[in-house]
Amino acid sequence: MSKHSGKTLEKKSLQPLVRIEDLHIHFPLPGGFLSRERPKVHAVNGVTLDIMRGEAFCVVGESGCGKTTLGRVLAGLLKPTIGTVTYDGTRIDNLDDHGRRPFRQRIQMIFQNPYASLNPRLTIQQTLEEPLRFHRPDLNAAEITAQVEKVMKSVGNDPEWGSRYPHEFSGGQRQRISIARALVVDPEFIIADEPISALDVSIQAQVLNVMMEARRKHKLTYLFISHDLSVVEHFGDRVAVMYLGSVCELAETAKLFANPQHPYTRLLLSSIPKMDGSSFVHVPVPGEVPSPVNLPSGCPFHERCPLANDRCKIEKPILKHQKSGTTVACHAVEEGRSN
Amino acid sequence: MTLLQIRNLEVDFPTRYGPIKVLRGIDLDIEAGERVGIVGESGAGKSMAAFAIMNLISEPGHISAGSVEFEGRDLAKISDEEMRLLRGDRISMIFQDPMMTLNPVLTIGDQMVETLQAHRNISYNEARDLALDKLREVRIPSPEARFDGYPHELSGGLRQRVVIAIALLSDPALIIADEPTTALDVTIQAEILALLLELCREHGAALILITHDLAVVSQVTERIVVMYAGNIIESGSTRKVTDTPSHPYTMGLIAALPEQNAPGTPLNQIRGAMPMMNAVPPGCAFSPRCDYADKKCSTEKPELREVTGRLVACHHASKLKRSRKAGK
Amino acid sequence: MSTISRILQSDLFYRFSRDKVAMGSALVVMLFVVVAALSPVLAPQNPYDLTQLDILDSELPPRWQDGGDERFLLGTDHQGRDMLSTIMYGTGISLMIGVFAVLLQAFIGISIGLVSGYIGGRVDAFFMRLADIQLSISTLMLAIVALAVFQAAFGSELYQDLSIIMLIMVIGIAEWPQYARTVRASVLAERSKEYVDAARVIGLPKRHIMFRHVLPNTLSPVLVISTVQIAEAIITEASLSFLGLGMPVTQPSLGSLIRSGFEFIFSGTWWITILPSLVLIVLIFSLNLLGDWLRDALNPRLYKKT
Repeated sequence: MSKHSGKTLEKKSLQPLVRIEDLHIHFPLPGGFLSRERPKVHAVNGVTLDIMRGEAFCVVGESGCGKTTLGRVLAGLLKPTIGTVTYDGTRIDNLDDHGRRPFRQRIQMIFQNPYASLNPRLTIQQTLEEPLRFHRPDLNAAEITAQVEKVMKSVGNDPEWGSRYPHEFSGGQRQRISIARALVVDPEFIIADEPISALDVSIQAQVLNVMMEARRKHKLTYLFISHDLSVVEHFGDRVAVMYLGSVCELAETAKLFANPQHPYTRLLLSSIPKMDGSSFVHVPVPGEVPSPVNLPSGCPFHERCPLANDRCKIEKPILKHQKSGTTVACHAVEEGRSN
Repeated sequence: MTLLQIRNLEVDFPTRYGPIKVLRGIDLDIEAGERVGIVGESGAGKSMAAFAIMNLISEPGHISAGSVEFEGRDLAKISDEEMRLLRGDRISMIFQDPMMTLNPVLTIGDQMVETLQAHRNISYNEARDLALDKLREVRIPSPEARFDGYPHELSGGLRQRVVIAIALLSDPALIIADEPTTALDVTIQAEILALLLELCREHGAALILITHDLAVVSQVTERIVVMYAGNIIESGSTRKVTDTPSHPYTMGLIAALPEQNAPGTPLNQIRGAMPMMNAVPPGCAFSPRCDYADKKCSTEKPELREVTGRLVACHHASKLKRSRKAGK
Repeated sequence: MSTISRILQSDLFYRFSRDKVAMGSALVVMLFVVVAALSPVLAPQNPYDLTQLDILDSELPPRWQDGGDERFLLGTDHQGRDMLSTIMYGTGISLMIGVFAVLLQAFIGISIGLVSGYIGGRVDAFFMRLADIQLSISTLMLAIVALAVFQAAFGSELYQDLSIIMLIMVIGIAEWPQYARTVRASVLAERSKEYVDAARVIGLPKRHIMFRHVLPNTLSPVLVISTVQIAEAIITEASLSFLGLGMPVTQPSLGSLIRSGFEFIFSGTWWITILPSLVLIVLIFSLNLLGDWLRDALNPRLYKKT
């Protein structure tokens, strides 16, 4: 599948840190009591992608596109229905708690809601020490305290905060504490699920800066999940655009924003409100995102796509490499009908 | 013609530690048919301003000073009954969550007819026709079917369209929209904003759009009012405020946006956070976070003054303007 | 030290200190607890000590009535026991049974609720159906059957010795579903919060997440139902004693006191029944008021919307 396979001279640095192959995640819905088949939410439908060591890989899409589910699978919070996740050469999606344990230290997560992601009954110090005590039993109390202090300082927090409780802090401060909790075990891969979307504008910049700084200092690889395209443009090296559980376009950030190929990517980009004083041009697109319970046949976007034809209604397009350097899943782009 | 004239409006919330001022003296004029955006972060008091206009501040909060004059009447002083007749008739409100407006156990049609009949003496059939017109106007697909449907059968975007249709029912002079698109996806947001803009223009209704998103405001409104810690700190035409912000806070907000910074570089951030409402610093509330603050800023509260065609509440606004020119 | 100052500064305490009803009912409950606990010191007589009793003093009316005796403020019962002392000791027994039965309920209920809510699936279904079955049988009925069987099997002598433990066991076991359901509901709410996900991402073992992260955050509703459950348990105990299945007359609780005087109520010796009844009513009423206040205070969403 990968463009690297078959090459004999494969450098270690070119090996993906994370490889997701043909990932499907379905959630059974309650109901369907009398019928044999229970209805299912098709959250992710056949996603294949590689995340390279050291890159900031972004996933964008609207609510219900499966981006959060994808992140939760990588974090080990969900098991895939079909497909595999390989981390640094080891398949991790089928590991039990014990086998997964070394990867828990290497893969950490930052959550969206700073008001729910810290246990209200634990002090900041307790919250930060817990992962260390678990993953680094070799450290003594003084070393743990020192490590917590070091990480708190590195994300711009006052180590004096330790004895206080989460409710005493603002959203931005809490999010920096969450980042510190993720960093304290010295991970190499961080999944950040909408880490700044619950924050105020002036605080978003602060938190984003902390995350970029952490990337540089700790040589982190990020999976950054967001609905905010301007943040993705700033933060990401590569972007995958998801729609209804499938990746429809995957490209380097600069290329994607300069020259979007997939009709959905174009729609997304044209929908961003801009402050440059340009007049309000919006191309209305009929309908809204279909329900992930009953997926449309063929291309998931065909019902809203201005370029859709009969082929799009029947055959689901697969991601193909384009001459422009991007990867797109669209029959129209393939056939050259898109311009 | 001035439609709404707010003067020195203050809102207090009594607490165990004494009253907390969430609005600290707001002056705001809105002309008939004008579209104004109120921008600020959470805790700035922007929603409180809207609720104060609608006289909907929840207990124990109350308007402690000032006046809200709308079409010649002071809304801060009229009776609840008069206010009730005004709401949904001359002034409509659109909330972030459509389910604040929509009752889940009534059909959409019943709610629209009910709203109309509360303000006008018309028959069911007349009301139904009017309601269907409005549903068509907001481009709800198959309005007849939706009329007899329930709100939960609709997607978020369609629900917000229904709410807009309800807000338009009685051709209000003023529509207050409080974060109307924050809960929606970006493609749906664009559609709702385009619709709101078009309908306000068509009906000549004035719009107060309350949001945290400067870009959203800049695409829909003619004028922007920036709030910080219960005060208006900058107010002027949309173009001027977004192109050449003059208050250090507005400047900081715009400079912090990712699209204003080269990809991958650290963003220009404003240090610190908005003060809690019970601990607003003396003098200029923004001074502890401001790069230009001096002694005067921490003792004397700046008034809104005109600087290059817009109002700015900053002691150093005129000086900043010069330095910015020199910088560019 | 800092814990105390934190409690004193908390919003809950502030609201408590502003609410006269809450303060009053808490004061009454405290008074009952202190008096009951100190009854061996405070009571003029030890009603369990047969050598202090004199059958000639039996059925004396309260002091303020004709024929009242200097020594007995609230009169005496048919065995010549001082009513005041007996009520003080009896309140102690009732409170003890109430508190320990609720501790047992809470222990069983919280454990089951926690496991049920956190693990879910078949385990959850099993325990919740069990709770449904338990709830469909009245506590009183279950207690009557259990206690009667015990009495028949082991004789009433052994039963008298073990009656406190038996009552605690029976009331404790019969009422666990209340706790289990409450805890399960808040576990389900807490489990979906991101801090639990964060603990799972760290890889912490299930048991650790359950006890350290989820459990402490489910305890405020437990506190609310506890006051009401204590009141319930005391009433259940009183009813059982009234039916003759509770505390023996030699070691009377409020319920058995009410029962022992009931035979004489129509012959004019009202005080043996009425006085303990009043005490019971005031105690239950205060506990319920306190429980109501706690529910309002800890559930601000219910409270704020006017």
